[in-house]
Amino acid sequence: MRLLLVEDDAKLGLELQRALNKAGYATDLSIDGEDAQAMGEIEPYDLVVLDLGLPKRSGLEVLRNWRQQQLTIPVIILTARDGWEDKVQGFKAGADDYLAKPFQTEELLVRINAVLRRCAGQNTGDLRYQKITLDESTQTVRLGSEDVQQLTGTEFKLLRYFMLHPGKIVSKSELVEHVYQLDSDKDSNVLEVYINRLRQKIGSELIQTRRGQGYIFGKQH
Amino acid sequence: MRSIQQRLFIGLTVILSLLLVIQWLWLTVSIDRFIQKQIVGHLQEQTESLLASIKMTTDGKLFVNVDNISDVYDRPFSGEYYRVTSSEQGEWLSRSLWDFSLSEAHLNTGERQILFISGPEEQALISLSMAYHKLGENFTITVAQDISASLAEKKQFQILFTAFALLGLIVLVWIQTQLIKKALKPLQRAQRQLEQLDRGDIEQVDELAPTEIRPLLQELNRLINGLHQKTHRSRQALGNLAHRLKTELTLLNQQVNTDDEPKVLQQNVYQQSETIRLLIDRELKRARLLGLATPGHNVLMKVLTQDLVDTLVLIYPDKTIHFKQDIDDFLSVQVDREDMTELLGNLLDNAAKWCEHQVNVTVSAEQGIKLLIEDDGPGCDSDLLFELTRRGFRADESTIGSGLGLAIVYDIVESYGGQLQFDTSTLLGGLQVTVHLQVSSSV
Repeated sequence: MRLLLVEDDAKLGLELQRALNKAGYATDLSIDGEDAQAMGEIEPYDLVVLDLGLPKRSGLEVLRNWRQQQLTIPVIILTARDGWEDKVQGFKAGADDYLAKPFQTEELLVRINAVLRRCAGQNTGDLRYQKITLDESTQTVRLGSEDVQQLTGTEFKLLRYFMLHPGKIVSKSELVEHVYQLDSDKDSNVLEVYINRLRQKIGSELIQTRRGQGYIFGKQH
Repeated sequence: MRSIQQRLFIGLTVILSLLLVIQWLWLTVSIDRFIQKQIVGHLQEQTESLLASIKMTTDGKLFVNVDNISDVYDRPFSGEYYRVTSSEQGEWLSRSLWDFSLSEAHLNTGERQILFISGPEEQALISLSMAYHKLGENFTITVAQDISASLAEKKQFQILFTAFALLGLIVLVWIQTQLIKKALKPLQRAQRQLEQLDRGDIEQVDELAPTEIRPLLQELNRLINGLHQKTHRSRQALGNLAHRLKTELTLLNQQVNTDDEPKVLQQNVYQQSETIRLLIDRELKRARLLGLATPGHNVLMKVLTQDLVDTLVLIYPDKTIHFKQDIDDFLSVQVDREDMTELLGNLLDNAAKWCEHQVNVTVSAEQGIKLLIEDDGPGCDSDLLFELTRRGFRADESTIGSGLGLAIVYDIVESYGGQLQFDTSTLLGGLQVTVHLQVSSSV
């Protein structure tokens, strides 16, 4: 999952970015409105965490501009203003959720999870597919009732992306774009290695290769 | 911008001057007409008597019999002159003309001509010429009269009239100025009061004034009152905030000094920061309240409620809530929009949080505005309901973050001098909140 974090406070921004990366979200940080809007338009993010009080362009304006361009990335608004008037304005502009400062990082993670799940058309709670359950807090996968496997960061990111898009053909480049952040090394050969390791952990029949097209998780719709 | 006094003064002067000029012109023309009519009448008679004086001798010669006409025509330059011209036998001039000659008029029988000419010794004359037929001949008789005296009289009258008119104008304007000054006195009084207000000598302006400016002063007083209230509330809120924030921060410091385990410490710090957040929310929201300080704007209740409902649906995505709204499409209320959003938002959020599936909102214009919010949640037991209603505005002061989120609702209702009541909904079985605000509304 690739996230765009828009937060102008340097300390809070870096802390959050670190926490989000640790939680398995490849997170880019933007510190002003104009830059954030452009990044949101160019990069294929899965979700944006948007602070409202931004230099150059307000968060609300950025959000409105995105929605005007039919850009439907889920957006969670982060703000110190939590009056109802502000909430109404935020949701009206097209926000998917609203989190008032100060908040705890766990709460933000729960909201991000919920919004992602909702946008993928799935119920909240643990991600499940058939017998597989992904525990996002411990980054482990449970097969059946007993067998629990620890996942590495990249394996976790890959599996979560697959599980949020079951039965859909996912190309290599799409995977690379949604699993790595902007400044990291994007080698698609390494990706194959990670997918093979993932197959060893959850069973190779779940992730099938479609030659020339990419991968498919589970049964095709 | 010019002062009202100046404007009235200029307007009045212009109108009066215009009126006097018109009157002056009209009188002058009337006098002219009158003089002309009178003199021409006299001259007409003279021509007729001259015509009667034209006689014929036995040998067929014509002559003017001067015995029958006034001897004023005999005195030189007397001011009355005649000239009788016959088509065949020459002309007869009055002796009064002396060596001056009245010019001859060429007229056909029955015609007449009136002229203003200058006569002997620079006299101003009116001349009347008429053409007759008598004794088989055509005659033109011209009679002239000196009108210098009349003209001089007219001039004198004009000067006198102008002088009186000017005097009248000055007196009228003076009287009017005094009247205006008197009428505007309350304004000057108000102005003085404003200065006093500015210096802080008084807290309210006196509303004893003519009906034209009383609303202005009343509005001013209302604004001052509102401002006082708001300042008072903000100050109190900020004072409270500072006081309680410092207390909570002290507690936070103490927690760092304890030997608790990291996990426990973390939990405590989180708890403390949550308390501080709620404190800030509560007090700053109170400070932001406008209440009756501003005149407010027309807020369409239907639109506002719909906006809030749309937002709540997104806030509680895992819950299927049916909001039943009973609000007139055009019901609007004169309040600060943010206050009303905050009030209704908190009440609806509370209902949405506790309800099973159903929330009813009824807004009606009853002596101001009445909001009724019901839900089908667990509600409260009657003791708590009674407490909530009775203890009113101080109910959650001690139980900050009690989960009811009603503290700000109390503050808003209080700032509008309204009423808040908690009951059990007879329709849905959950909590029923009734808010009554004394604000103007229209449908």
